[in-house]
Amino acid sequence: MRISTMQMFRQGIDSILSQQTEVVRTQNQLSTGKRIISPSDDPTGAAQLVGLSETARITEQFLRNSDQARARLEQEDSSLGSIMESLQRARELAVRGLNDTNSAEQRIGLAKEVHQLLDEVMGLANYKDSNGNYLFSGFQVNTVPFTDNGGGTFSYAGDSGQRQIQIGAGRQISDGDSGQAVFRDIPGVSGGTEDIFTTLYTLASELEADAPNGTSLDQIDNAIDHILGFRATSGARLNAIDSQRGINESLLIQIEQTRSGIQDLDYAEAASRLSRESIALQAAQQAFVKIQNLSLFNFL
Amino acid sequence: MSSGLLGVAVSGLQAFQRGISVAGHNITNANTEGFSRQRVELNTRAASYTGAGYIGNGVQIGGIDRMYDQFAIDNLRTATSSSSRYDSLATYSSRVSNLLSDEKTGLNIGLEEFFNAVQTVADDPSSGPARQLLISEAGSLVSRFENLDTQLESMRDEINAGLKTMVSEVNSLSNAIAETNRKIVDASGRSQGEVPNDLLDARDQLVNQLSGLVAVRTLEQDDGALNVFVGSGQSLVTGVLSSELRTIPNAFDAQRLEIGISTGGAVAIVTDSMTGGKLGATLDFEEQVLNPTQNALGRIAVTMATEFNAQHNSGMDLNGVAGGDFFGISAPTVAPNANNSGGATITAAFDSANIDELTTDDYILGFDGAVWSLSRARDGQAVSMTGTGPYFANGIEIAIAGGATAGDRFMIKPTEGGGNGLSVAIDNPRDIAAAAQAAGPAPGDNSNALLLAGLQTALTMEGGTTNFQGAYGQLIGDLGTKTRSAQITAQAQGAILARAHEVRDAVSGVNLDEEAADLIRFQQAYSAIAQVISVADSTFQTLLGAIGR
Repeated sequence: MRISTMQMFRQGIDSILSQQTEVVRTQNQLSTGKRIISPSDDPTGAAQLVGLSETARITEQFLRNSDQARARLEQEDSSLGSIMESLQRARELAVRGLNDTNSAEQRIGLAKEVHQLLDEVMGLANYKDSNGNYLFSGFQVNTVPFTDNGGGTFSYAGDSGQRQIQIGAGRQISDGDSGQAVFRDIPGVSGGTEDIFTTLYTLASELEADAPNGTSLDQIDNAIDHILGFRATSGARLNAIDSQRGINESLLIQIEQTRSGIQDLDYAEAASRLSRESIALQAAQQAFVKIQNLSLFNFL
Repeated sequence: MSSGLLGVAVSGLQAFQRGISVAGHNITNANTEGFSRQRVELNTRAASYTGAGYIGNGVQIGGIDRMYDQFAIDNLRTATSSSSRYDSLATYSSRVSNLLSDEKTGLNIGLEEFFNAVQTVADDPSSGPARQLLISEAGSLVSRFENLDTQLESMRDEINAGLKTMVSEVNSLSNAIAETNRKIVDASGRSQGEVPNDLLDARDQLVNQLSGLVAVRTLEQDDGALNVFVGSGQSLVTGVLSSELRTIPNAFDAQRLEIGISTGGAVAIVTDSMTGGKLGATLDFEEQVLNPTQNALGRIAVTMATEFNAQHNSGMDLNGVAGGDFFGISAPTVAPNANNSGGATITAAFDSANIDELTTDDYILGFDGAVWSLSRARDGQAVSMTGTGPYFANGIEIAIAGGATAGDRFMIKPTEGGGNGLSVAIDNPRDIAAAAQAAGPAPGDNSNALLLAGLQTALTMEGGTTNFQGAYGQLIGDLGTKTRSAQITAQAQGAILARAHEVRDAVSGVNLDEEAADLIRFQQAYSAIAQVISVADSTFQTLLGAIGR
């Protein structure tokens, strides 16, 4: 076929240009480390990346949520732990009070300590978490849950709300318990329920009146059992959070691997491609110069 | 005898001189786009009869031929049109797909940050900073939607400006073709059939440039003029006359431009039949990429805001009051056709209960004198409506007031303004309804916040098959596929164009080596014939000398 001079020129330039495009593309991939520079490089992969990014970010948020819930459950656990110590002490005092060797004055001394314990427990039940929210007021986190109205009456200003925290896809966990459930719904020895403050107050009053009563000891035992139950629950929740954290973390690793498989560049392949393309570009340039020098006019 | 010899020699001198000058013309035009090389056609002159038989009289120039192949030229024209179409389409489309997939400008991070902020409120619903963060993340999500929409709108402006420029380019090219037609007809008439080669090249080149803008068909007339047609046979150039293309505002939406052709005072709209070339590609891009993308973004905005509002409404804020709307949503746009004669007004709203049925389509609501009917704008496919007024269809609610005349039409664009019309309706952090509805305030209750956060992954779009970000991913995938297919076709068309150039140049292109060889050939012949003159002269001198003695 006949070839025109302009055609030869155009073809030479075209092949240089197309080689340059390839080189620049590879260079761009190498400098970003990404295989997909624009969605048209791999439309399906690009769409997948959107979904993966979403899942990764939600999972990271689940980890933060878990931290929040864990902090609050640990605070609950430590408050309940201190309350348990107070109750154990109150139980000792009750046992001692029942001992007939005690004089009325000694029992008044015991009653004083029980009053102190009552104040301690009240303080712990009105505990605020690091965000300034009351731990045991249900949803009424800004309201002091328990008030001592004097004369053995105690009131609760919270509610029985219990908050759930999302710690995984389709996995929620309570980050605490209401004061109602923990301190008020304690089964009474003689039926019904009795709150922990009334129990301690009754114990103290009986000791003051030098009339110790075995029922109060039983009621304290009920309270101890009840609160132990909540400690066990919050421990179980902490374990659940830990195991969910493990699941979330391995999910994140999986996502990262998938994402990297779709998006990341194979450096070795790209580097060898770049050198191949550079050689091709060089060849095209040299061929162009060589061919452009060939002209019959040079010999006229 | 010697006068005959001189005559033969002179005829040769003239012919070879012409040959050299044609070679020179070819050489000087070696780099002229669209030039066809020319050839001197040499014939032997008619011989004279002598007693000894016929004796030759030398050479004469039969003509100067333009070396061309009409098939190759037509092929080149078609290839130019297709190549420029897919090149432009690929360039435009990749801009949109890069815009949406960019990590900084895209919607991804916006949606993720926003819903993470909802989770943060759920973690600690009474926290003022967490609530404040949610409002500010909502604000940045809204501005992401706005920003993307603005970018798309500015592409539309660019396209409209481009359309106007291209239309005027088409007009000036068709003018030039008509003018060249006139010159060709004149020149052919003057030379009694000899064709003006360079004018033909110039005209082919003009038609080729025109093909880069829009696909055209041509028909050569007996007088040498070339008629040029666009679209479905509308004539752009007829002989020495050209018709004008114009941009006309769309009858529903003055922001969108239609292409019209004016013939004899009337203007016919030919937008849909403008295919190929850069102009066709621009119209394709607007129709197939830009509008659907803008609608898809709007749909995500509208669906997300509607779902979020519905859940927010069923919660309770820090003051113990039922939640209001969290987002402001702009209603579907309704535009009457400029030619409507009735007085009906149409109001469209979103049908929140069926918002998952919302599509990215635009619709045309028409009245036939008795019944209202709805159809898809892009292909006229009928869409069934339920209800007896207001009507419901595909997640929208249509209310009609006043009387329409048969033939009246309204364009309903549910999602076009969705991205730009989104706003945050809440500015007081206390108004965020994180709690479930109850008798009084419950600052620590996060149950509604959990449900709000759950919307992120709920399948609320495409008839309940995907979530907000999933729909966004699909949009990016679609754009990527469209761009990729345009790029692949552009590459293929580029190769076809290169091949068409090759084929045309094989016949018409100038090869400098060939011209150099011709120069040598004619120069040698010229020297040889000069020798003949010298021989004739010396023969004559010899004769004179013999007589003079």
